Amino acid sequence: MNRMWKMFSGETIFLSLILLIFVSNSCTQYEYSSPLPGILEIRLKTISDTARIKFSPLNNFVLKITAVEAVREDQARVSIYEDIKALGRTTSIYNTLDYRARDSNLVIGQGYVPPGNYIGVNLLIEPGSVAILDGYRRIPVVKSESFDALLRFRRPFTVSELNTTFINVAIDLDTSLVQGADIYDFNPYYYISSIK
Amino acid sequence: MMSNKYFLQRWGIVFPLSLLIGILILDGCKGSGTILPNIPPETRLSNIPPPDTFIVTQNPRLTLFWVGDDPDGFVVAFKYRWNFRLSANDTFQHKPWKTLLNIIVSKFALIMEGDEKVAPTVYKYFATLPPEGLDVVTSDALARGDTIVIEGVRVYASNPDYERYPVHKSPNSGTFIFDSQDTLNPHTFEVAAIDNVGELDPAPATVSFGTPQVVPPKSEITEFPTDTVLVLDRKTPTFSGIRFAFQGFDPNSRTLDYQWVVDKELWPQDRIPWSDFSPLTEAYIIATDIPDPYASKHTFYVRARNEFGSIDTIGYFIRARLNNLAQIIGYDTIYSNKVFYTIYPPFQRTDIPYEKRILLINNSYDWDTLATSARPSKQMMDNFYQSVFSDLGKDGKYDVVHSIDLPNLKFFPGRGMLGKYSTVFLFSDATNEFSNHGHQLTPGRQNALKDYCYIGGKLIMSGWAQALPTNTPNTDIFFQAIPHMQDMEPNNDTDYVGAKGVLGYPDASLDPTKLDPTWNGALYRIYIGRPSGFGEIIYRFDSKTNRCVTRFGPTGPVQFCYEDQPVGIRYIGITYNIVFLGFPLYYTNQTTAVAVLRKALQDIGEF
Repeated sequence: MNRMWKMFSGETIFLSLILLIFVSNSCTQYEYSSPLPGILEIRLKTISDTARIKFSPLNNFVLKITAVEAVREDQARVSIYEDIKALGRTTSIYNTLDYRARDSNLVIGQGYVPPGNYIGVNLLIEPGSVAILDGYRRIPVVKSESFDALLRFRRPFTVSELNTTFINVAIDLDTSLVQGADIYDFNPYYYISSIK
Repeated sequence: MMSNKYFLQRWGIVFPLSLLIGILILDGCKGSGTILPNIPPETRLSNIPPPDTFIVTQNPRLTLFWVGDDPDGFVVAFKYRWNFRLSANDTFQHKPWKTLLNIIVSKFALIMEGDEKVAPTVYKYFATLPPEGLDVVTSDALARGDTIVIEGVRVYASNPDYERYPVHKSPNSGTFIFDSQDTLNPHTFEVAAIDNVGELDPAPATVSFGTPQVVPPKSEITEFPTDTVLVLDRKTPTFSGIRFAFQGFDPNSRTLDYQWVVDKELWPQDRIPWSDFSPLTEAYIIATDIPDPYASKHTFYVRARNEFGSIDTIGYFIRARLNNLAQIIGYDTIYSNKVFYTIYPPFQRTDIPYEKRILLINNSYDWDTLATSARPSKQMMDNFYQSVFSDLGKDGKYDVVHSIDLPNLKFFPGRGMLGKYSTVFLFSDATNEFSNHGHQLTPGRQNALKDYCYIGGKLIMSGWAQALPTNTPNTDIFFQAIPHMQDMEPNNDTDYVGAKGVLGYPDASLDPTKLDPTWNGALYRIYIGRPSGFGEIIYRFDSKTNRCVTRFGPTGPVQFCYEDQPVGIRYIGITYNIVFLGFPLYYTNQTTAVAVLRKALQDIGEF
């Protein structure tokens, strides 16, 4: 027993000391913490003069949305997917004449984002090629020459840790869809209508 | 331990050698001797005639090539100029010097402003760009033809993207157009290289030559309105202006551009508003282009300009007329002006009051002496509608005309007549036994109606078998463009008993007293269809038998029923309005007809 003790004691003590140093160092608490994300929910709101184009199940003008991003004040951008559990975004099609769009209830994006100050939201859109009125009138929609598929909604907002921030992005169809003789000319007029 | 012998051996060599090199270096830095003066660059023009000859070029455009050498450096730019005179009695003048950098950057040949002393600095900037070349913003600016500033010097590309025939594509050549107003125009072109210290070749390379007088191009108007046209003072989505097309001829010129004016003799002669020169070979005239927009007769003038700046001011040329064997059989005078006629619709004028007025066009078949209430004559039809319009309170506010299609006499209101009325009501309610109106809505007549609508007219149409090709050729195009009804198809069984009103229109059932007993209380060849564009359904088919037919489509047989299919369309557009009744209003009773037309006139804004 004593012989074994003598054989291992030196090495054991040395190894133990080393281990102790590592262990004690690894438990050191650094002076920073990673914040928890906030949630950003983006909803589409459509503005339309009902004397012109009504919100109705018989009316339809769709926007294909292929990307939604929140833009932080340092220009960093975070992608927002369809819902909080989504792993990626696929092209989604939304009827701007849906009652939910009138009532600002049409959720087009939801996701975790780092807390911080943001300057706005980007949407990459493609308008439908026709607007359908009264269920049977098919009006071709022609993009204006100045049409830019990237809509840059700009209004500062703050996302705080563990809180949900609601952004309503509004598209004004009265201005965006300009009636021609037999077509609608589409040049989107849009803004952030509310932040909550 | 290092031995003393080794130490001495080693340091005994190294130390003196270092001392020697040090002395040499120090001595070399003293700068004894003299700096050689700069040798100016040399310049040569290539492919030019010998110095003692004088050639005359075929036209005022000449391409010259040059090179430069510098024995003690390199060439950074070239300066060039040439002289000219306006006539033989005039003194020679010089064009200003131009400085062309001896470098191509992102495909651009660069012209700089400023004197030769700054050329090396600008050259160095472009010659020492990183491997990726110019940044995108600068490159785009040069491509657009913008001027950029480099080291305080303005620089622009001689060959921006829009320039089809640039003066320079390389630093060693240029294609110039020399002023050539006189019969023979002598010029001396000189070019001098600039070296890397900004020194100019003191003996520029020169070449002298003559250029011939520039012959102006010829212009011809190829398309113009042959009928009276309607005109407005603005372009709208349906009125783009009165179109003229033209072309020019000049075998020497690579480019031609054009300008035009209307009624140039009526404008102040010192301020004739010729349009800007443009390479476009068509013009769209609106009323603001015409000095008196309410006058009817006008003249359109066009003139071409060639790349030498010579403008066609003669206004005509002679063209030989050839036969099939290419032999001259005569001569034609081709003018670069055309007379045309316009009407500014009174209902669109804001300078004078206009009282609304309706034109009724009776386009129905005339049963004449065989007329019955089921087969009315034109006069009976007139009487019916005059009575209806009287009930509408329109006495004295409308005129009635008949379509005429006799072998020797044809009539349908033209644009000139249509343009005087705020609303046109075209009715083709009676047909012969073959469903023909006896009048064809020919393409010319269709175009007159279309043009009337496109300048803001209002149209109501009523009729039987209107979409039958013998009544309306090019049915699909016309009905889709104007009444906004498409895919029209007749009921070939006698089962139409009326039209069910939508959007506030009253039902329009048939008046049994106007039906022939053999018709079994119904009509056939009433066309159904579906609305196109902003067209709205105002009437639906009321079928006596609720008849359905089997159709064979791409997916197989489909059951198709006439009941409730669209038979009347309303189009309320941003420039014109139409109410299209796809059934003959005459065969309803008068009360119904009054109600239908009242609603139609309200919808189109005539009431």
